[in-house]
Amino acid sequence: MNVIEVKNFKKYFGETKAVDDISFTVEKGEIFGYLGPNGAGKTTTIRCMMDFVRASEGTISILGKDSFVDSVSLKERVGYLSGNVRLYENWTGHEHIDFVRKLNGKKDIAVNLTSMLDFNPKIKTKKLSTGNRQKLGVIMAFMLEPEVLILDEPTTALDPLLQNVVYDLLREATSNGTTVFMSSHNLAEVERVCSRVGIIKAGKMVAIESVKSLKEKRMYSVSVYFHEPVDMSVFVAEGVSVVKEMPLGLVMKVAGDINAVLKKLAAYNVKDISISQASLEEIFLEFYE
Amino acid sequence: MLAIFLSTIKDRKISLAIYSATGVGLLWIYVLLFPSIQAQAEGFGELMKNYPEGFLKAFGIEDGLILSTLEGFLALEQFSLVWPIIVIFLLVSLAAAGIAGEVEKGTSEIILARPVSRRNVFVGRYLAGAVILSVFTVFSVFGIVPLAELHSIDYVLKSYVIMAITGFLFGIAVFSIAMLFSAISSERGRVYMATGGILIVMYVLNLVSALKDGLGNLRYLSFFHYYDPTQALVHNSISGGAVWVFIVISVACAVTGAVLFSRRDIKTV
Repeated sequence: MNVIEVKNFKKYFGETKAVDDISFTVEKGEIFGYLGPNGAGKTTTIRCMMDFVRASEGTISILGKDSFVDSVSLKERVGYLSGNVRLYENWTGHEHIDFVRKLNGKKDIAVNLTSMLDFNPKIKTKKLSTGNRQKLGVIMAFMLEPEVLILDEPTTALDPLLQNVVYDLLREATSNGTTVFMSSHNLAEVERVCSRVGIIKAGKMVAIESVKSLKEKRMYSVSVYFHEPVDMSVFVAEGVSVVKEMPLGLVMKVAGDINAVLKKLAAYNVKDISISQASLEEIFLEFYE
Repeated sequence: MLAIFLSTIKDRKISLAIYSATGVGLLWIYVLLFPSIQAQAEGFGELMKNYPEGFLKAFGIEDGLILSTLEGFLALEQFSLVWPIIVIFLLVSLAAAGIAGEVEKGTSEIILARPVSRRNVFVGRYLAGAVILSVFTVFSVFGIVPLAELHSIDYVLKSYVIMAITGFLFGIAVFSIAMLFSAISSERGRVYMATGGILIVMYVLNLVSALKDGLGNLRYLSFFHYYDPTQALVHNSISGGAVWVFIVISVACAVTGAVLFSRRDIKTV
């Protein structure tokens, strides 16, 4: 069952095409990662899903309801976390939670979440660190146990321990049937929690893939130094390119499975080696340019 | 909507208390000054006769200087300029913060992510503004009653009732214009500029229309023509035209603001 259905969605700001004809679906209980470089159109898509901005063309439906026409009733069932949590500076966390509670008017789990995230709700938000502000944003998004969670980079500014708490919250929510749509820059995070990803670039959806196939598109930067001169051309193969050659070493870019390169390297007397995973940005450039 | 209404009142309670205390404080100063002004009322009246008619008209002294009564004195000193300025500051800042300010700071997302229609957000803010204006009007106009009693000065209660109505109508019209600009803006500064600009133009039009005979009709374009504290306090009346102008402008701006806010994109600056 499709919980989120985006059809031929376009959003223009004047002459600028922020999102250009994208379509995708998200199934019930799925965690769908929405990836893309800055300015790709991720936040615009999310803001249209939340009816903060209106689609120029196309439709977005959530839980079978139009995100624009049925916006108010839909938000009783949707939790939202902004990529840049903005708060009322003179309110405490408790006042924020209470305000959200009054606007929704139903039971919530804010107390549990507050203790899980080790958040002190008595402090005015102007005195909170960025991480604590993000915690409050997470509490406000999750507290009403929504059927759909729309999250714009949910773990930004959280330390690794708290990131794990959020991942646990996401898993628990999906096990209860909640559907999650989240944007992220963090490939490790996406790999860890998402089942499928959509990749957007310059307003266009360039790929919708399972995380498994995204992993196969992994790229590595391999720097190797040898004890003696080596014929560098032996390393060039499909998915492997030599970026830089040095008298006793080279830097390679490896796309996909790294084992073939490691096997070749094992035949040589290696002095030093470093392997780093390419950033998501680099993967985008390599595969979708 | 109730939660938005109450949160606005709660957020503004301190500034409302300060504005109201300022209104009462000014009344107190005028009450203390009044006996000495009253004693010299005749002299002031003679002095004013030497000023050109157009000049007196421009500053709302069309019926001669009536300083022999507390109402005449307050109409000239407090309610002709100081009170409207305070109301404008109070309400334009309230309107600007209510919608444009929330968009500017990004806090609008906290509300708009919840099951509340934009129309209700607008109405909640608008009603809160109307209540804040009412509270300020009560303190800054009817505050004269205990003060006059305290200092044993004669006053006419009916005059202050009509002044409160006149002031409220003026205030709500100003607030409605500011809310309209707030509904379509994403920055508070633009609301201040647009509303302030319109009010300054209105003030100048009223002034010019009084000074230049051929431009007399321009006064009908100005709130400051319809807002007449002398008529309210000294003559105990408010013109039907003024009531209609303020009500029609208020309703038109509020409805337009609510509709435009419901239709616009909310793009955080």
